[in-house]
Amino acid sequence: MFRKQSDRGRQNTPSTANMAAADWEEIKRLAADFQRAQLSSTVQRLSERNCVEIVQLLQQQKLIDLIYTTDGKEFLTSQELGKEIREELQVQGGRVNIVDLQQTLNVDFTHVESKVNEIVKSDRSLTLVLGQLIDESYLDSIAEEINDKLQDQGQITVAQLTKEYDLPGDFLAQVVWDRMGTAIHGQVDDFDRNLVYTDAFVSRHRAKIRGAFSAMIRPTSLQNVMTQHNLQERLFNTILEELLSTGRLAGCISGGTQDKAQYVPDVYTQAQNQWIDAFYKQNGYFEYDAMRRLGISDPVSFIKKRFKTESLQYLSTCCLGTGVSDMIEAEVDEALASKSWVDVTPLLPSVLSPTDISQLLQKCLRSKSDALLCCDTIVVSQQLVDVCSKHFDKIMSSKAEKDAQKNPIMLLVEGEKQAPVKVSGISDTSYGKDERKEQRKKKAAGSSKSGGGLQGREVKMKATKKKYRGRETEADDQDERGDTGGGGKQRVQELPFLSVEEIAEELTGGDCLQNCPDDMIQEIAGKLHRPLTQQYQQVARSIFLQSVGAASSGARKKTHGELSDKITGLWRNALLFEKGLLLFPEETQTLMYKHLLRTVCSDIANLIFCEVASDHLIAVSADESQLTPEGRLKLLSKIPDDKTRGILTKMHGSLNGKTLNDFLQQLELMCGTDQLEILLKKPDKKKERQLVLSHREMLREQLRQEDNAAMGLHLVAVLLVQFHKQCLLHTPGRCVPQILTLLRGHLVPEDYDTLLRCQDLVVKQMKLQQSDDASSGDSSDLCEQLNELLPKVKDIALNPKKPEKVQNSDSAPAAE
Amino acid sequence: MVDASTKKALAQITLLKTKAGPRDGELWVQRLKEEYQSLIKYVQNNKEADNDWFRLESNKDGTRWFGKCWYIHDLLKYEFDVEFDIPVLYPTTAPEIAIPELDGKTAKMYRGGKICLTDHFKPLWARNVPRFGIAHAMALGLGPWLAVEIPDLISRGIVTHKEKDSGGDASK
Repeated sequence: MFRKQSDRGRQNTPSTANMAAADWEEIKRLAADFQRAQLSSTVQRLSERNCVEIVQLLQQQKLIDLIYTTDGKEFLTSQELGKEIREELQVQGGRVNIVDLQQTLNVDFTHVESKVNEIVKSDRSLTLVLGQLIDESYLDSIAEEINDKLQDQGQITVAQLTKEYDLPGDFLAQVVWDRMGTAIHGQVDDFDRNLVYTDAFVSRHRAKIRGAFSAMIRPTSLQNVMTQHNLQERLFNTILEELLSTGRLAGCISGGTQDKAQYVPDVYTQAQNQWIDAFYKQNGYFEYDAMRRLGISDPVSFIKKRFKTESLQYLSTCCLGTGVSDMIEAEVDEALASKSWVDVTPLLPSVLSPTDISQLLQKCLRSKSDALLCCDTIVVSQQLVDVCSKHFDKIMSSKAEKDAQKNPIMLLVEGEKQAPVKVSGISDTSYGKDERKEQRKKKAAGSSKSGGGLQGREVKMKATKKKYRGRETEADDQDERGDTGGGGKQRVQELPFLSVEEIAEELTGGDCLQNCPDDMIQEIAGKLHRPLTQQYQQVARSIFLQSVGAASSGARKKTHGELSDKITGLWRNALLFEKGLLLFPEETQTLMYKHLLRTVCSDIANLIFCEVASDHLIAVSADESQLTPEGRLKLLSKIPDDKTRGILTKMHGSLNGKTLNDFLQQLELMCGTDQLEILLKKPDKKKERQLVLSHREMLREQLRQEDNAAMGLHLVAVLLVQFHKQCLLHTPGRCVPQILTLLRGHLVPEDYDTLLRCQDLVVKQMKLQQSDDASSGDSSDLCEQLNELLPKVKDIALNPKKPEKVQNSDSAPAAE
Repeated sequence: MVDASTKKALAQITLLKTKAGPRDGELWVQRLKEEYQSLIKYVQNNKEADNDWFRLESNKDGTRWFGKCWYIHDLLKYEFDVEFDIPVLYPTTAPEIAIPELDGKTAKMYRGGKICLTDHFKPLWARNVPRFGIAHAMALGLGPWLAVEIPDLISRGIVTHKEKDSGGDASK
């Protein structure tokens, strides 16, 4: 402004001096200003570097205690830090995270933490929770919030609060409890301290529960109610219990666990009981299924509880009252008394299963001995069955006669076979069992088909046994015992009477079982089959025995005796013949051995084979005496017993050998105790002589009647050998010349000549017969000559003379 | 070339407008006023930056200026008298600042103690006539010269620290 004035002045007044003076004044002022400016104190400034140095120095000398900020640019005293923390807490509204503090204050975390701890210790209004610093005002504010929410929602859980405020439940719970009644208006649940609700909420709940449960008329799961009405579980349970105990709700809770618990209204229980009572009164039984449908999960125990006094029968599907069982008993009694049958199925409620019925009937029949249970549901009088079986008597006898005619051997064998089995059974049962076991083992181990068959049969037997369990078991056991005792073979030999089907057919046709269900007939037939078959065996046998006229055991013994006599006789002969045969040179011996084996020994073998065959019930087509080697082989293959077969095979082989030894050995084996049980006794001297004599007598008799020259010559030769050498001889016709040469020394020469001549003639005749082209003249001539010679030859043999005797009476043959 | 702090300081000095020398009568007064204002501003700036380094005063006409300047090296304050005249051709010709006590002690000095200004100073000044004034001359001329020469002189032992009186001056 001054300058403006001067400017104006300059313009208005041209006085330069004045102006200059004014300017200089101003200059002076400015110079003074300048000096002042120069002299004014300078602001004291320390460079950052210096500051840092100074601070470091101070710290080293422990004059000050400072905290660095994290970037190192600032220092703080701990008081300052405390102040800043408090300020920060206030800014953040009473709650601050220490980690956030560290970031905002830019101070190392450890300092912040220690400072915070210090503050919390010193100040009661502050708390440190989960690394968060919280002051009382914040808690007050959240308490207000919680209260608002509680009033709004009616209930609140600490868990909810935890989620919302992100603070630990215990802490929050404590906060809530502390302020209960002041800042928070509500009540804490008695059971769950973490649950807070208002009175209004509780009464609302109570009303809801009361309403819902009062409306129920059938069992309902508590869980369902809870979810449907959105009820709070804890509160729900307490209120419900209270309502039930005070009698406001009529019903009870069943099913222990929380999830399965059910509310059963009394109305429903009453209805249930009424229905069951009515049903029982009406029908006399309880049906478990129906009860389950009504919601009774355990009908049996329910019935037991409810009808303690009634005597009831508990079956698998239902429970019968006394009325029904009495009725059944009456029916059964009636049927038994009238000797007929009754099917109880139509009398019983339809819900009963056949097993139930059979259970019931078995109970019912326990006291009645003469009743049979068929097809589980039918009661048959034993008398009726007897009547039925009598019906078969006629058929049986007629069939037995037929069978006896058809295959008597089978019957005979059947009859005879029984004896030894019985004997063994009596003598030592355990031994018999062992043997049986062994046999079984063998059969099982071996790949033989019979073993498999036996097993198969066993299985079948078991099946049948099961089927007829009950009153039939005893008979069945006996049956089985007899069966196993006789071995598998015997069963096979049984004569079939009628199959079950045939019996059933017969029964259907009969008049005693008319209008019966087929199943029942089948079962009765099955029951009758076994006894009938057994009966038939007896009938058939007795009929056969009548026809044959022989008592079974006696016959058996006799035949065995005969056999042993025969075999012993033949064997003795064979031994004697062997002795005689030793007189001859070796070539002749072999021939003779062969002959012996082929004749006498073969006879023995045949006898034994036949016997074994009959033991094993193999039909022998030919008569025993005419068994050929081929026939024997065939028989061998049929014999089931391995041991016997082995011996017999060897015996058969030994018949083709050159000496007797093999055969005799096998024979002894065969006659041993476990085979034919024939005692071979060696003859003593006396007996031997008797035998020789009788043999000679036999030969003589034969010779007397013989009119064939060749045979006669043969017999003569044999007789002469016996006379002179005291040996029996059994030779083929071919050996006659050799015998004659042997006899030469012992005979009167004329006799010898006669014999030679006869022999020549016989040889000639043979040759002629063989060639067949001989003229009739020649042959007749020869015949005449032979006929002429024959008596002479016979005479030589029949009246043998010692050589010295010959010398005395020369004309003896001529006299004859 | 001038350093960054100098440049900054320079920019804060108010520029002059009047082109007038001591012989221009009233215009010189005007010029002198501006010089003073500029100087005051510069000193104030320096004080604020804790960078006060000289005292100046002039005669009545403002043609001759004298005072002191100092430089702190190794925590020691070295103080020198400073003087200069406003040339007749001012502001076209820059004032020649002299430190008489250092006369003959350094090569960067003319006879009579006038400091040898840098090659840059003169063209810079020439370009900025009439805007540059005494304050600019101090900032651009003497300041840098002291910063370069004094540590050298001290190290060579030519300049030594005057104990008591200089200290008292500095504190003042």
